[in-house]
Amino acid sequence: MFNFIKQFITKLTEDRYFYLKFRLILFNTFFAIIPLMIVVTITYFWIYEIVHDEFKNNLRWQMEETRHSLEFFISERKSALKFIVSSYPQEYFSDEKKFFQLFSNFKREFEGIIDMGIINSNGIQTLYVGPYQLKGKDYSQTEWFKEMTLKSDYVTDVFLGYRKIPHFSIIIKKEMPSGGDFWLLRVSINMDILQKLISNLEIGSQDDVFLINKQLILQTNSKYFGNALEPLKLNIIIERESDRIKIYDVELNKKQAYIAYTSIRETPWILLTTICSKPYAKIPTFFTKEVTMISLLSIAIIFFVITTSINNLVNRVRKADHEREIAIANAEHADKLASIGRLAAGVAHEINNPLAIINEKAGLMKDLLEYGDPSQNKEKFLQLVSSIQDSVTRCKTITHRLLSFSKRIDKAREEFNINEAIQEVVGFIEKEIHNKGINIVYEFQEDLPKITTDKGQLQQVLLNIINNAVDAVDIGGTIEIMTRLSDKNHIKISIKDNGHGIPKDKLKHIFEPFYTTKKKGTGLGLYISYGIIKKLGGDITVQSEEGKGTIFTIEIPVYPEVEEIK
Amino acid sequence: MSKAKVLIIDDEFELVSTLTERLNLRGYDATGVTKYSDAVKFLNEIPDVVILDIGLPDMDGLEVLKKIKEINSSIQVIMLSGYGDNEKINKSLMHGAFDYLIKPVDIEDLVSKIESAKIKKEDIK
Repeated sequence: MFNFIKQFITKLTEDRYFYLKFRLILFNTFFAIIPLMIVVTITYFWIYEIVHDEFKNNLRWQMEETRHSLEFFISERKSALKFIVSSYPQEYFSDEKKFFQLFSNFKREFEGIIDMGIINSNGIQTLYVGPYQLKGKDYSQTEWFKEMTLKSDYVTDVFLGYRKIPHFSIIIKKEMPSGGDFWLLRVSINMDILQKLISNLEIGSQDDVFLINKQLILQTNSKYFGNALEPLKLNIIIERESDRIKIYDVELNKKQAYIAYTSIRETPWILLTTICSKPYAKIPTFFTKEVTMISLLSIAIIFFVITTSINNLVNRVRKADHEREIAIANAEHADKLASIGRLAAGVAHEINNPLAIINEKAGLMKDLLEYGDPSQNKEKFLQLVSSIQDSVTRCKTITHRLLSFSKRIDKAREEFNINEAIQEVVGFIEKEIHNKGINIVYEFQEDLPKITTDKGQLQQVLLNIINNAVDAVDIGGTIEIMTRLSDKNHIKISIKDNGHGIPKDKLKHIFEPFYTTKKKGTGLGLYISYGIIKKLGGDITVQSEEGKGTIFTIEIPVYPEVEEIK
Repeated sequence: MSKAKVLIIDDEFELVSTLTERLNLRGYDATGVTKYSDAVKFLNEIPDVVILDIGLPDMDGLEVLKKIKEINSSIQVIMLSGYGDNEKINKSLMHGAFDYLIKPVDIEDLVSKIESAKIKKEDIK
């Protein structure tokens, strides 16, 4: 594994196509996955929201159901009792036997009834049927009795009362027709019936449902917040008169939870549910699984498609690069041939001059032999021969220079003095410079270190730039060639001419291939020069002002760190 | 018919002096100069034939040819070229040069060209 990674990294840093491929694949895959991620995230939240709402609706609906059944339970008993009170003759409520019969009938029809009693307007229980001995008890001080002076019926909170068992009562008032007097029919119902009614609400094991009254006293047993008649151990604020179902997001024991409540009409109760389990979380989990599978599959497909296409693309780029390299190599070769041709023409021209002299001198010697007396012309002959020898020396210099140049084409690196190399280059085009009357000014730093690089290639560049300068200046122009040590390891060569300069819009194109302003140029000279200087680890820059001249600056390392120049 | 009056203009002093001497040996009235500025004086004397190097230091050979033709269009100019620069040769022929020779020249060729040029000049007269 480690070896594989090491191999991968080596390949990444060394093979630029592999690096390009790797980067493109990573980049493209990343951006292709982003929309997928966005869709998945949005869908997740969307579905979460839907499930959430669905759950809330379900809870609301169940609360509604439970509230209805509670309300129905109470109102059914209330109306039955009202019916009894208003339609049964008075003796049923004063005669103990008849009252017992009434109670038995009622108990048979209505579930949960414990006992029944009649309380007179003084709060004394005058009649009682049931399992306890509550006849004669005084209720005049109770809350409900006080309320009954104003109301016609009443449902009490759950309370213990005399019998010490949690229960609640329904009380119906009977107004006597003769002036202001009344009596009350009181029916007690066990709290258990309420417990049973609310347990119809379907809830999970961590959830709770119970009744409280408006003073937040529990009316039924709660799983987590205390037993009936204890104060609610839950810190909430409840809007008391609320017909609608309220659902709140809350935090219970540092967990996300819901509290839903609603008051039960015509009773003092409020139905309250707490939901701590997360039934709504189940569907998103399921969804996550499915979507993760689909996403992974999509990513795999995206990766495959991108890898294939990028592979194709990079291979094409590699092929194009290769073809371009061949084209440039051919162009470079052509340029080299062109400069050799130019050089050859110059050399031929330069050699023809001394040859012409030799020809004439020899011809004159022949003439003298033919036309005059040879013995009288000894001095003359010696002069002519020495002239011939001078011309031969001139030819020799030229041929030697050419030979040294052609030899150097094969030699990659050598140590040489840059100033001498520049003078040699200028020597090649001496004739042209001379003919145009160009003034060459050397501003050489004398103590430059010897430079180690490809002399032939550097000279090819210098020849190119000096040739351009010669073309740029008018007759009698000036070319300044300056050398300086710019820092410890770099030599700067500036070639400045006072020619017509390069317009700004053309200046940025001059190093591009096939760009030329000359009638006969190939547009490759500066392009190749740039390539050569870069290859030698240097840099080439140009400054030019139209009408004032151009400065080419070449910076070249004294000891290039470049790989072996081919 | 008298021998031709010849003016040689070439920047190589050695060449000019030797060639002048050789032509003089053959009976021509030859003069040699190395610069156009020196040639003006002799041109005003109307030589029959001028032998002119295409590459001169102070003025391009073509320009010199035009100047000569301005002074007297009957003067015949034989161009002398260091190497076969066809463009320049063609241009000079178009501008009225009599002929051209490529260095190094054969003296017999030069003499015969001078003779022909002299005849041509006589004809124009």
